[in-house]
Amino acid sequence: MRPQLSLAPDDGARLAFERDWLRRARQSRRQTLVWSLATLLLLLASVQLSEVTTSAVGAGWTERVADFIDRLFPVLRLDSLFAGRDVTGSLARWYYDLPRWLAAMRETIEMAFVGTVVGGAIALLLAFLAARNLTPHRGLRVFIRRGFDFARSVPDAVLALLFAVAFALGPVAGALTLIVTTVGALGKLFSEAMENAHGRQIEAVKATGGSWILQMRYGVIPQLLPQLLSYWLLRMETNLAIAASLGIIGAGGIGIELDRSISFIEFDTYLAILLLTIACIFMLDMMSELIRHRLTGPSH
Amino acid sequence: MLELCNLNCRFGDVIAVDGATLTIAPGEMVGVIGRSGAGKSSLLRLINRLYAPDSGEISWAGQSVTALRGKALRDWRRRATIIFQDYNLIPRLDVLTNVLLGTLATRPLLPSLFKYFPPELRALAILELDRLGMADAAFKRTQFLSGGQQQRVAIARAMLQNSEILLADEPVASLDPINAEIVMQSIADINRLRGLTVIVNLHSIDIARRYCRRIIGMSHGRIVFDGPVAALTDQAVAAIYQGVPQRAAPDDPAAEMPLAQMALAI
Amino acid sequence: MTVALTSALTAPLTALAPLPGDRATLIALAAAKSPRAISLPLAARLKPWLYAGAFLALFIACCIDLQLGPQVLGDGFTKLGAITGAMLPPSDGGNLVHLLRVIAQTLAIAVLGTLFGIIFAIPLGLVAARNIIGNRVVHFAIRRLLDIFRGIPVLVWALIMVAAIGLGPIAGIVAIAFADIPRLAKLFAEALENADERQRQSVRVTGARVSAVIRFGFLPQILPVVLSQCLYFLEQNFRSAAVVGIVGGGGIGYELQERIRIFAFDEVAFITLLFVATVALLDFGSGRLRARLS
Repeated sequence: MRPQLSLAPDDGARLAFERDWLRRARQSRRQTLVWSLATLLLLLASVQLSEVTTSAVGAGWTERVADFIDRLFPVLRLDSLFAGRDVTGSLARWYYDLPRWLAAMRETIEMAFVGTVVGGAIALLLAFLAARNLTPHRGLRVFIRRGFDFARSVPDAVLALLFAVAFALGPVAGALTLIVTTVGALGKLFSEAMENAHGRQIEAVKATGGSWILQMRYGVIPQLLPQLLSYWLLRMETNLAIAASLGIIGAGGIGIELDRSISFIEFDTYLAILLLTIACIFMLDMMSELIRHRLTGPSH
Repeated sequence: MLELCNLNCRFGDVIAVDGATLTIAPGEMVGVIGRSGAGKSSLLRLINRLYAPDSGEISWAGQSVTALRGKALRDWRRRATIIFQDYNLIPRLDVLTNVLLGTLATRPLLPSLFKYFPPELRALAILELDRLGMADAAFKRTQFLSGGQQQRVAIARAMLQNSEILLADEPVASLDPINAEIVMQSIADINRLRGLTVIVNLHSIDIARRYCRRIIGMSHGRIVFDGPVAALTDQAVAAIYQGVPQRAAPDDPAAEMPLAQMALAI
Repeated sequence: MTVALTSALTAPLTALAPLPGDRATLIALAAAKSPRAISLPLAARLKPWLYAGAFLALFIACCIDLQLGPQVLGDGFTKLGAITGAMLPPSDGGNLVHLLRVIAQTLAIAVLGTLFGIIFAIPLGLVAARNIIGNRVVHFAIRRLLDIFRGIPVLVWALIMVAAIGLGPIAGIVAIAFADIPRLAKLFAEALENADERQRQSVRVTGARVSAVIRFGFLPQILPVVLSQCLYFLEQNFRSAAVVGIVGGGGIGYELQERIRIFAFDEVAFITLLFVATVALLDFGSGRLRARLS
């Protein structure tokens, strides 16, 4: 039996509620529709603009991809896997230039290290000036913040191209690029962390008569050190990946070897170097993650 | 002689201190009482110059400290040391370093940046800690200490500043009764034996009566009572805690009653 | 209680005698109380210096190996100064309309790259979520795999996609999608794992069908988070889309690289400024949308 809705004494109130509810539901549905249409429009415009449909890839690309995949994988034979370099199907033949690649990998790691250390140091100094609650000068703060934004917006590869013109192709251009992007990224993170710092500890140093520099040294750094170090190590991981890729446009390190293998159409070599790079990045990431967990662990 | 003359300080629409005029002789121990938000903390921070007054004068030993800047200001902060309700120590540094932070104003910058303090200062810090029964904890991280221990570290730090005035902002409000007694007794000893002028904000009228010879009452940023402890009758306390506001519109009187009664009950 | 009180009160407080004036007695007194405070063992005193020294030595060794010396830096910065001088005033080279179109194309590459990334990341994210696939081994294996692929930067993907597919925006789109898939999948999986189980149950106990449970108990929780992350990725991918162009993935990167090659630095400056302004605009709009979502 259906409930007798019309018998309720507060019928008017119920109807008003129902009407309001329907209106809200309609409004919400309309909003969803508008957003969906806007998204669809954006996608259609993107397809049109990106020239995907009229792209030069054209016909026959399936064969090309198939051919590429065929060339990508090395010839490996189980029986001669650990044989010398001159035997077809051995690992040694696949990784025929390993010492050189390792040297390039070392260069990549060094670029990332130098870039993160110098960039992190500059970012730390500037972050004190860019944090709202710490800065000694408002105008300076806005200026530095804009600088951080700019350093993060310029694509790293474009910076690397410019540095390569000035400093010649090679790791110096890569390291400088990493310094600039690191200052932008870490400067923002550091200054935001500092804006959330406890004021009491800063006030404590100020109240004893400590100068601004000492307020930063004892009021800010001790309380934020684990967090800042953790950000710094995370950036080291990111920079390692960027350093590996910057070589592709000539800024030193393993990327140069990747680029060379592509221009010689040695796709299996490319895969070899890529796997090597991934392994190195993965191992260093694991190390950094271990340290980060110890830093932010419950025992400090 | 510490003299405050018509001192004003406001933050936006909130009047923190309103026309405070006060004279305190060297070596006095003065208790400041009043409801929270009455301007007690702001008054101490103004004297120490953590806050800058909007108008008015502060002078010590005949010299104005209102307009001090830079190194002179930092030296004034060292001479008028302040300890806080929440101790304001650096939790991740050890006790000894926290105490040594009291010497920052008089030390060259570079060694301080590298956390180097000469042996005689370290010795001084240890002896000050020892007087407060804290020498054994010198190498513990401050974050692992109890509240009472932390406040004693803060007192040792204040002593290393070699100051002339001790400002204590609710030093025992976060402590249990035993530790509160220890800390208040230390402050009284510092006043009696070292001759430091002490101004102490207190929540508890009982403690104020027992330790201070002179009481100042504050309400809505104004000084509404100033007299010897004997003059602090129950009526006077009620007046301080009821506090007729001068400029701001009165709050709901019904909401204020329980607080006033609480103050009487203490 | 009273015993503890009196002993605690009497012990430290009576000892307020004046301190000795001369340095030697002071130090001797303190050394008796706490020897470590006066003379730290040599090993403990050397330890921080050893760490700092080792770090500095490593840093200098790296600089030497990279040939990052004052000579190189001096020469380079002189040249960089000249380049900066050549950038002023920035000029559009009479191609403003074309450049705006290419910027739009770069944005389009970013949008489509993000879209394909999302499409492929959703099933992977489902598989990688602990509360969807219960098997611990599978979960661990997939998570590790995602971690490994997360390390590959977009430029590396672009290089290989251009080789595989050919020059043009498609390679760029695919590269961005490939770089995004592991990162998005991990975020999706985490969003799923953090979803509140009780909300799902509260819908389930009403007797709703599975589709309704997902619609009302699950999606309202994770959709805002996921959408906000997708917008964040779109912001990041706009920068990536500029990078993939340098190796031939279409978009503004190609234009920039061309002009750097022929030393047309005034146009480089113009395009860079145009790009940075677009990034700021996109970040602003996306930031507003994300604020509305949360």
